[in-house]
Amino acid sequence: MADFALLHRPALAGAKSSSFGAPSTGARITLTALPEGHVLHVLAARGSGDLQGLIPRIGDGTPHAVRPYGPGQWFVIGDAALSAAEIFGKTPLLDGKASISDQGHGRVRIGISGPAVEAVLAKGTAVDLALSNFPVGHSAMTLIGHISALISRTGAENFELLVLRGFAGNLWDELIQMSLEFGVDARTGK
Amino acid sequence: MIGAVHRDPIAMRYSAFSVFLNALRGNKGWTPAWRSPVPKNHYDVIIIGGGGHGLATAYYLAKEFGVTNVAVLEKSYIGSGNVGRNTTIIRSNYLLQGNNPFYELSMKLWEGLEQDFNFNAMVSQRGVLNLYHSDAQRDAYTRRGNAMRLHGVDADLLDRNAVRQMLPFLDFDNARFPIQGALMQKRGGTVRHDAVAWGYARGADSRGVDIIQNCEVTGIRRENGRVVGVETSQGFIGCSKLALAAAGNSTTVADMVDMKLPIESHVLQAFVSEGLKPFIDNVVTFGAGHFYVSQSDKGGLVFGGDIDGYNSYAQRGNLATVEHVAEAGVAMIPALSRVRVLRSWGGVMDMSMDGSPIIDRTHIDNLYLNAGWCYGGFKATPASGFCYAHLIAKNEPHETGRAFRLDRFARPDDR
Amino acid sequence: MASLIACPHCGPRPKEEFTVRGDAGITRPAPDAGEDAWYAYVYLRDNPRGRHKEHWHHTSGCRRWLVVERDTMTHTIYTVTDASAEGETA
Ligand SMILES: Cc1cc2nc3c(=O)[nH]c(=O)nc-3n(C[C@H](O)[C@H](O)[C@H](O)COP(=O)(O)OP(=O)(O)OC[C@H]3O[C@@H](n4cnc5c(N)ncnc54)[C@H](O)[C@@H]3O)c2cc1C
Ligand SMILES: [Zn+2]
Repeated sequence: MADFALLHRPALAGAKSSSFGAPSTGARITLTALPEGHVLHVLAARGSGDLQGLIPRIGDGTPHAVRPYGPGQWFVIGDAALSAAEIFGKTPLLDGKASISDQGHGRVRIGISGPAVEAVLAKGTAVDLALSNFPVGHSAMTLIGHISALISRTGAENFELLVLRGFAGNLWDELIQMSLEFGVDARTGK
Repeated sequence: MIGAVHRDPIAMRYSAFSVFLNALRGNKGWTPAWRSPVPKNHYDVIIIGGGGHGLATAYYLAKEFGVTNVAVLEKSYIGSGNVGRNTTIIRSNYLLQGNNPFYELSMKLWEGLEQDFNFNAMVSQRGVLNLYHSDAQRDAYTRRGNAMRLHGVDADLLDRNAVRQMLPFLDFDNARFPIQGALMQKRGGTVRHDAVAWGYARGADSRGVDIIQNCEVTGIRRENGRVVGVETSQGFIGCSKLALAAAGNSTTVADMVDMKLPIESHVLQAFVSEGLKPFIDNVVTFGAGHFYVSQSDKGGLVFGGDIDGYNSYAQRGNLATVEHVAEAGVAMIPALSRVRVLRSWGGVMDMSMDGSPIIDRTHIDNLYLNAGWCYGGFKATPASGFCYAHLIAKNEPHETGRAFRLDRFARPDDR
Repeated sequence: MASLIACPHCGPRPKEEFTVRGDAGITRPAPDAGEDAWYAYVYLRDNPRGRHKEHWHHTSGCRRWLVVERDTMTHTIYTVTDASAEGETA
């Protein structure tokens, strides 16, 4: 099938990249288009029990690489792009209890951080993101406005959003809108 | 079919002379337009549900089929159901064989209705336009229009410019859903919904029908496999024939005789804006989202969209649907973004499994069913009442309503 | 319909995150069960006014199928369980 090479263009390559909204305050928001490295979707086999301890085996070892979002369902993400062979090579690590599918083409990560980050995301989701309820390392799949995304907390004032590629640009624009009152620096990395 | 007006007792009551006399007496002499009778022990026909269909059925039973010992039992007040909650659109732009002649019969009855029951129902044939946004949609509407014409129903396919002449404020160049034209039925339009209930009620009452409000049917009594009467909040009332016309509550009534229906009850919402100067002359439906609109004579925009989508017997819906309707409306008419909504409400409807209604006999000899009108039963009110009255009086379906069999899902062929 | 559905996996979420499928009380007949059974399964509904069990999908959340038992008149939700806990239905 590999008759021609696909040209990989980052989903947010053409997105707005600048500073917007309120002039500098202490609560500025930073939006970052994160590297489109790998996104692995892991689904547990029926009746395979608790795999929580098993999944990190296929991660790259960085904190928060494994993001659970439902019973027997995880996303495993990392900054490095992986070849098909490298992905297939990970399957045996799961002892046949779960399967892996490459979602690198399908989902994109956006970093959002700043002192007011909880207030900004609360405009879009009903999930309670208070640190006491949603500690570092916690993930939740939810709607942000009309767009479904996986929210993961990576620090006291840092979140990552994993969103379907086709919606990434739209979510990016909405996040800028939602952040205007605090001032926002949106960086696509160009 | 239209009775001579001068023989109508109502015509006498509201004659120019009577109106003049009452004016002289400070209009203090008018009595209620229909009675509030105490239920008799027994009726030839009891109709459950004082909505448009129940009242129209009683009216035609009395007027066209000479069956006057009839009671309409309504659990609330007449007009409290969907007949007073709908967005008042009438049309006969149906595609399918079994549907088209029926809705066209209804349209013809609408056209003569005000003279027939001598009540101003504000029948307004302002034209219904269904917008199309793609070649495929145009082809589908061409097919529909041709089917309508083959049935003798008026239909016009309008191109973009013709629509622009009529409705210049539409968003013709919407990037995703540019408007390419419309299928128009000029004879379609709107009718004042409450007036339909009132006109039929008055016409039925004046011919001897008892309209009994605040009378909820709670049970159906059977003896030897036949219905003998109904238990109600006002006691037992006997009948020789029982006719259901409970719209969104058909299942709850059918449950009383262990009859399971191919129906789910769903909620549909509707909206009215603040009063505006006249700017929408027709009924317009969006072809790229769930939205339709007309403007009432008071100036309010009357609009709606799709059902909420989950089973409901509550006459209220969710905000997500409100948001969708508003978005689709603004996509079709950008100026709507500046309009304020005054009121919104919901009505509970029978959603049948194929979107078509049921007018039929049942497994019980003297029990008849009128149900499954979905969100399109207002326009059907006259024909539904007429065909149902025919069925009840003659125990034989009216030719035009023959396709609306209860067992069509189990036995598709029309034998 | 209630504004919130308490997903057993995700906690209370706005109903907009969910997609309704319909009656969870009907069981798919065997392929050779006969026309009456298939007719009843495809077309006939209890359509209760009151307690009703339905399938809802947590589409914008954990993507699990749930069985929601709720009142079709008052909108009260009584129970929400993962559909797999109910065994084979529909
Ligand atoms: C928001 C909305 C918009 C709509 N828009 C349109 C439109 O533009 N065009 C169109 O053609 N159709 C439209 N419809 C559909 C239309 O309103 C209905 O199909 C039609 O009104 C149903 O018939 P009906 O008038 O007899 O119903 P209803 O007026 O609902 O009459 C049924 C009556 O039965 C009574 N009842 C129920 N149970 C009992 C009982 N146990 N004992 C005694 N009485 C009982 C109820 O109280 C009710 O009054 C719309 C519906 C809704 C909800
Ligand atoms: Zn969930």
